[in-house]
Amino acid sequence: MQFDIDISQVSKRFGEVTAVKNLDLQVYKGEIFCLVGPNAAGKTTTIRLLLGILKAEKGSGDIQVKGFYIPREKKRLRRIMGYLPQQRALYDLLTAKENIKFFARAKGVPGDLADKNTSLMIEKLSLKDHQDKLALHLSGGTQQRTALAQAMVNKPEIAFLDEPTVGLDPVLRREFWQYFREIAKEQGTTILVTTHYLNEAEWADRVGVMRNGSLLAVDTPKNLLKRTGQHNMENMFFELIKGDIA
Amino acid sequence: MKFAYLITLRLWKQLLRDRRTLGLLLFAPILYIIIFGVAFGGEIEHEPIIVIDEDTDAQIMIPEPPYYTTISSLGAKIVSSLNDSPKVDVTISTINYSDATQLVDNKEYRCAIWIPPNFTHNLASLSGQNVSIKLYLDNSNPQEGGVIIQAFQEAFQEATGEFRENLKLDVKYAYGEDLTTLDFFAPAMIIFGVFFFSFILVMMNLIGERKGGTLPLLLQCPYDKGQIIIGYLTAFSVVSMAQTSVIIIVAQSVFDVSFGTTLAHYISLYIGAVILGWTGLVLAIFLSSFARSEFQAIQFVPIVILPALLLSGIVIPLSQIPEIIRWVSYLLPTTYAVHLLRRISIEGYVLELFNIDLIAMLFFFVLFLFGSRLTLKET
Repeated sequence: MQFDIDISQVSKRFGEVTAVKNLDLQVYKGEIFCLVGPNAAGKTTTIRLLLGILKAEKGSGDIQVKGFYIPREKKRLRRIMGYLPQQRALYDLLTAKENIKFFARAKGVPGDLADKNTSLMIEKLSLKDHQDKLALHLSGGTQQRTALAQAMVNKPEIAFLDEPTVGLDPVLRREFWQYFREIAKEQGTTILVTTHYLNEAEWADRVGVMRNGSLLAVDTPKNLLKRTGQHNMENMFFELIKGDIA
Repeated sequence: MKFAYLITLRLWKQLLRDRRTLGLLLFAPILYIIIFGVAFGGEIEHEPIIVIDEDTDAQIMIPEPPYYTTISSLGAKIVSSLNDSPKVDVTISTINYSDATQLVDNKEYRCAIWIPPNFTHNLASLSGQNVSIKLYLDNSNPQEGGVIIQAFQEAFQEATGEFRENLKLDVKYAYGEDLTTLDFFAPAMIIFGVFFFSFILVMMNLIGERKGGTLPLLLQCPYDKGQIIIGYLTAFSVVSMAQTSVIIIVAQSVFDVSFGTTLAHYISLYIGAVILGWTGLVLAIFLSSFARSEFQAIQFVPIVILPALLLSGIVIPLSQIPEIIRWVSYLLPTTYAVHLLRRISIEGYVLELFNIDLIAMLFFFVLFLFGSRLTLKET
C-alpha cells in the first residue's frame, strides 16, 4: 500500500454547481498534506467524499483511504480515523474532559485506555486548567482545542482536519501546527488538513492548491515557492491563479 | 416609524422564503378547524345495551264496571322507546339477568337492564307497591355511562308518564362506581405527560445535536446508528417513569385519584407508560430528520399533539368521534394507550402478555423505530 489517500478522477456536483471536478489526489502514509484554497474551493467537499458522507458522481473514479474503498467500506475506516469538522461540535453541558472522554469511548477506545488517552490529550493541548469547565463556558480557542482533542483522542492512523485553525489567533494557530507535526512524527499519523490561511501551508509536508473544485498544483511548499518565484504562500497562490483572474 | 416598517418588510420577506412555515401557517388552521369541528360535532350514540323484559300486559281492578281494565305492558313501551333512541343500540334477550351482567363485565354490552315480571301491574295497581328496575352499568367512561342513564330515563318518561313516583332505579356498577371526572382523566394525564414530553424533549435535543454538529460526529463513530436510538430510548425511559411517578403521586395525594390497588396495577401502568414514551421518542427522532431548525421542529408539535389530544379518546370518547374520522383514531398510538391505562386504573385490569393495546403500541413503536433508523442521516 503506497498511499493512505488515493483519489482518482472524482467529481461531485450540487445541482448546477460542480464542487469537485475530476480530482486526483494522493497522500503518502505519515504525511501532513494541506489543501489550501479560498472559501468554496471544494476542500470540505473533498473531505466529506473521503469520509463517505457524500457520494461521488456516477462514473467517477475510486476513492481509497487506508486501503478501504469509500463509501463501501467507510465503516471499517471509522475505527482508525480522526475527524475534526469545520463546525465546532461540543456538548455544552459536559466539561472539556467529559467531552474528550465521551468521544474516546464513542470511537471504540476501551475504558482504561480512554482515560489515559484523554489525560494525554489534555496535557498535549494545554487544557489542564480548563478540563473541568463546562464547554459552554470555554473561550473560542479553548473550545477548538477541546474539539481537536476529541478528534485525535483515539490516536488515529489518519486524521481529517477541516479548517482546524479558523478563527484562532496566530499563537494558537502555530501551536496547532506544531501539534500536527509532533503526532505525525511520533505516531506516524497521516494528516489531511484544510485551511484558507494560505501562509499556514508552509508547515505541511506537501500542499495542494485548490480552486473551483480543481487542484491547480501539488508540491512541497518549498517547490511551490520556487516554481512561482515567490517568497510567501499567499503570493504564490495569487501567482498561480493569475491566468484565471486576468 | 421607518424602523418598524423595515422590520415588517424583512419579516415578510423571510416568511415568503420559508415555504415550509408558510405552508404550515395556512395548512394548520384548516387542520385544526376540521379536527375540532368533526371531533366535537359528534354525539355519544349507539351504546350497546342488553334488555331483559319480563313484563306483560296487566289487568288492573277499577271501582266501576267492568271492574277491571287492561294496561298494555309498560316494559314493552320502554323497550320500544329505547329502540327509537339513537343513544343506545338495544339487544332484547331472554337470558337470565345474572348472565346478562356477565356480558357487561366482559365488555360486550355497556349496560344490562332487567324489567321484572308484573312490572306494569305493580306500578299501576292501586296498592302502589314500590317497583324497581335493575340496571347493571359499565361506568368506566362516565360520559358514556351518563348517556345510557339519560336514554333510559327519557324512555321511561315517555312510556309511563304518570306512574313515575313509585319507581326505583336499582343501579349497580360493573366498573366505575363513584368514578369522578378526575379519576377518568388522570390516566390520560400520564399519556399527556409521557408521550408529549418525550416527543418534545427528544425532538429539541436531536435538533440541537444536529445543529451543534455533534450528531454528524456521532454518525462518524464506528458503531451502528441504531445504538444512538437505543441510547436515547434508555435515557428517556427513566424520564418517562419519573414523569409517570410524579403524575401518580400528585394525583393520588392531592386529588385522591386511585390508579390501582395492587403492585401489579402499578407495574402495568409503568409498562404502558414507558412503551408509549418510546413511541413518542422514536416518532420524534423520525420527524426531526425533516426539520432543519428548532423553529421548523416546533411546527411538528401541534400537528402531532392536536390529533392525539382530540382523537385518541383523551377528551372525547372514541364512540363519540364521528365514523368518518374515527379511522384516524386507530392510527394514533395514544388511542391504545388511553384505552389500556384507563382499563388498568379504572377497571383494575392487570397487564397480560398478549394485550391487544400493548401489541398495537409496540407495532407503532417498531414502525417508527425503523423509520427513524432510516432517516437518521448526516445529509
